[in-house]
Amino acid sequence: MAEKVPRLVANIDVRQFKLDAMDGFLLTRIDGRLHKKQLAQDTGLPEFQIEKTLEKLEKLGVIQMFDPNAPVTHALPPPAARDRTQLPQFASIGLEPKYDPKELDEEVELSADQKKRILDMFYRLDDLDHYTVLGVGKEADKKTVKRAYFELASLMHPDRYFKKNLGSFKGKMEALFGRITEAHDTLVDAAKRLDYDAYLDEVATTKGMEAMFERALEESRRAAEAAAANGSAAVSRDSVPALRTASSPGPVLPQGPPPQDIQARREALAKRLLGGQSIRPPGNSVPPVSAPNPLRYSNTSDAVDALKRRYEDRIENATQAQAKKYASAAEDALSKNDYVGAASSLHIATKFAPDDMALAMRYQEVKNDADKLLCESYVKQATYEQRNHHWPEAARTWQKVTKIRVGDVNAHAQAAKCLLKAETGDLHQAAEHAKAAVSAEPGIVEHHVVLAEIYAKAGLSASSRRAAETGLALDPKNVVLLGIAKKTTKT
Amino acid sequence: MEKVIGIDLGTTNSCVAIVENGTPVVIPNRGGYKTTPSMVAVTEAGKRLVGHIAKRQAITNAENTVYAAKRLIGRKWNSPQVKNAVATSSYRIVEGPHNDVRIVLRDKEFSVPEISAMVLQEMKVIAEDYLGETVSKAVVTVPAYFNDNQRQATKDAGEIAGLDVIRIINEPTAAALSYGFGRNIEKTVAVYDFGGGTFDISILEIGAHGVFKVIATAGDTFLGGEDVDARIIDWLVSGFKEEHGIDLRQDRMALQRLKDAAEKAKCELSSVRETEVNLPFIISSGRNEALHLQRTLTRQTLEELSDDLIERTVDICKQTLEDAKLGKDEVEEVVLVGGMTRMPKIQQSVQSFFEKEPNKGVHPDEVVALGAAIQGAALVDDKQEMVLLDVTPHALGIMTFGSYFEELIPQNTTVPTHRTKIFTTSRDNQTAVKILVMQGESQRAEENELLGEFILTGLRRAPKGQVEIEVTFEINADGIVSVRAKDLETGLEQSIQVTATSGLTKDEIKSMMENAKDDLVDRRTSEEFEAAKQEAEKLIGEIEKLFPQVQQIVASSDFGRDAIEKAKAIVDKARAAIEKRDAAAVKEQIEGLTRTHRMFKGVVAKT
Repeated sequence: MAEKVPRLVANIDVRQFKLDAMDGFLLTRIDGRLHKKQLAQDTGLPEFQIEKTLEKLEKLGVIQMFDPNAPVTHALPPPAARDRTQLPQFASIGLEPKYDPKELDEEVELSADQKKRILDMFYRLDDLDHYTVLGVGKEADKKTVKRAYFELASLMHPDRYFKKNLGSFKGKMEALFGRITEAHDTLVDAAKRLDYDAYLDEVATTKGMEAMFERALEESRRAAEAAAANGSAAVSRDSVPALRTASSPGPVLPQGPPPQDIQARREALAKRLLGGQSIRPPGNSVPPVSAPNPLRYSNTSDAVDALKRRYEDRIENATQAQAKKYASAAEDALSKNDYVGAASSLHIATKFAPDDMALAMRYQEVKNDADKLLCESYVKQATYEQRNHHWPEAARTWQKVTKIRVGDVNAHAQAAKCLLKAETGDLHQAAEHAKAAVSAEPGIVEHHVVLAEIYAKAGLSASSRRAAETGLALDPKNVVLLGIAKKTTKT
Repeated sequence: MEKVIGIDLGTTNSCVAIVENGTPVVIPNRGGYKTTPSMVAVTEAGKRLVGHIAKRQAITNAENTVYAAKRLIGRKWNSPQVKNAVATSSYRIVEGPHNDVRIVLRDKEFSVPEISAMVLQEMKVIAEDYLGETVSKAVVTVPAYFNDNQRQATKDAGEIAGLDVIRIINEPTAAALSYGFGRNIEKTVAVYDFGGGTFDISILEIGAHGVFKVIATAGDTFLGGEDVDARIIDWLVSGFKEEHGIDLRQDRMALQRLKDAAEKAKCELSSVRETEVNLPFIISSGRNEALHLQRTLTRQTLEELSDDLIERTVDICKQTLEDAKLGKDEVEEVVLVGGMTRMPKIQQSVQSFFEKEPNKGVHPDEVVALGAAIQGAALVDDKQEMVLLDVTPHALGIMTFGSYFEELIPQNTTVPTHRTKIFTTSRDNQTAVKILVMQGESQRAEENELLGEFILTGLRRAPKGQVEIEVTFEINADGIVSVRAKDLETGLEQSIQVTATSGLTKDEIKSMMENAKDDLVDRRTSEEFEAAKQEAEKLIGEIEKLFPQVQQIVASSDFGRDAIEKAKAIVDKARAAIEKRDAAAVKEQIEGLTRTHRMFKGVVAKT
């Protein structure tokens, strides 16, 4: 029997799981094709480590193991069967109801079940993509989409409840029907579906990137430990005795911990690196433990020192090897244009070799590229959302751009505008973005207009007037500003 | 549970059906016929006649017998279709008070819905006689390509007849319901419906759970068997004129006889190769001598006479398939509906276009009424698992500045639906906008049908393009259109429910357009333009700031002066493009502006 291959479980958000950086990194390599050994080669991690991590991930339900040589039907459950199981689940797709339970009490000619289902779906419409709305998989063909649509339509079409008292449910059902129709019309039209999939991909990419960066961030906290211990070890190589020169100068060396901690930490690190129990170092560049020792020692003290040095060397070698592995994994990723993967790998590599300036610079470089890519992706996404008048979503996406490119005036301006247009936009945040735009480009009247409008909407007339006046100083004839100035003076 | 009848209110014949114990059946009239002529007459004694009895006396009472009233319903007096009908009808058509159409019978004027109401009432009575109880609810069919005014007028006719028309559905859709009812099939079906007065083509998907989804529909509301009859009449009249020098059209009674004969000959030629038209004593000659009309019409001649009409239907089929984004091979079944589809030439044309033999399993005259009955039962009976997902046959939108038609709900959109678009004011300090709700496919507003209008007032005074107005169109499951306009700044709102009016003509719309030009909304400029404008204005600002300095530095050289002239020209061009709100043109100028800006900065930096 062929070796089983791990693959991601479809449609799950990995962020809900407690994963460490190792899990996260491995996850980025799992593509449903590579098996354990190949993953070990690819990541430079020891095979048993991979095995352990895979086991954990499988237990968590993040991945599943499957036999790649089994008939295709095993790999992809038949769409029809999936539909049947997914549709009933739909009502309970969310973890908890998003509607006010009082809405169930409205006296209408619908069963409690129908009411629940309608409310559940109605209040989640904004979070669901077209595939989820219809309860079909991404690979669903035209026929499957149609079947799913027909089933939902037969439940949701207002004609099914002709001349019945539906109260507030009538409008909701019409909205639901409109939405499933939009989903159907988009997915059965090849061109529209392509466009929509591109948008979803954009969203998925940015989501994946976000998750990756989040993980990298978390990892940095954890790896700080390792970095400290590692840094000392690296320095100790040239200065004997090692334990007394913990704070020797190093360009990127972080504040070293007290010497007495180092030994313990070092051991912990070694344990961590070597997978917990085994002392067999990973990779090929490290000599095996059982290698015969060619040296003889004159006394015990020398022997102990030598042992200590050898132990340190081994850790040093191990960490260096790890750094190298990650760095080369990063270059691999780069050659596949996977900037995010590369950045993530390099980030981990820098933690193993904190004083490697070249590595640090390379990381910055790749991180910048990855950020740029992410931003481009966000901008595309935000533009699609804006075009479709999805203001809250567009605002959120523009805000993400501003988080990466703090000085992106356009992103600030757009975020402010979208927050202003979104019915429940956070006006405080909107004002912050508008202010950022104003201070970056004080000569653009438009920025002042948006800021003044945000203040006005928030009911801060004094601030609104001030913003309007500043804008009017630039363009005394701006009618919107004149209007705001007039209104705010009155009150 | 109350019974709902389905009525196919046809141009030439009408039919009524009902679902009994789960089976749809056609109800025969007192004479045992399953269809009833859609004809109404008033006798000399003032007695009102409907159906077969009206048809039988048509020749002797041509001036007071109305046929094909459906061709006039919901139309305006000065529409070309009405003009055509005035010229060819044996009854008198006059202008009504609201630019609508009235028919004169024995010196009394009737509106078209009133005439149709008489036919509907007859159908109601036929059903009541059969069921032995009163019937008050009905589903009535109309051609798929009817606009909202025509649908509303049909609904009005039902009301006049004492019927609660719970739904108006499209004839080809009804035919598909009847075809697919209870068969549990999954199929893509084209319904080719060539009736007495109208032609429709609809493409539907029939799926599980009794769902019928219309994908696309189109047609011609003035293309039908009547037009084929008219071709035969033309042929007979011109032949007679050549022979005797007399125009038979001048005599209303002769015209009615010709009409009868033409229809009869047409029907006969579906089964035989030639037929004789024999009308003795058709008219008196000047010398008080009666003349006879006698001519032989062959199938081939008929096919030649109606060739272009059939061609038109095929063109519409082609367009509809394109609209549905379907290939011919994806249409799994072609259903023929309407009396005209008995014509062999039509069957051949349909077969060669769709590349498959059409289904003749449904009765072309009865299938529409059966479908209407099925829809009626599905609406009131919870046990019937059937849902019809129909589409808007015409695009809906509003007229914008420059008399453009701006579409909000495209043709073939599944209802219920709603769409929103943001518009803006078209002139400075405009405080009110007029929203003209229109229906049609043309980009020119005046070529479309006006459905209604309303005014949104109380807008903030601002330069044009600054005030944003959000317009929302909504069509509910009953097909009722409502339109809402909202001032996004003040939240002020106005709305109407579009219940089609007697409407306005193209001329009226034109004159209204002249008067109301300033009060229209404008298309909102795109984000694209705003972005380009912002960039260009920023560059212009910076260039102008540098002007004096640059001028000082380079004024001494010819080259410098030339450069400044060029820069000024670029700035002017960019300004003009901004003024015209032309995003592409502004973008074009940005490059020049950037170059100029760079050059200016270079000049200033060097000194």
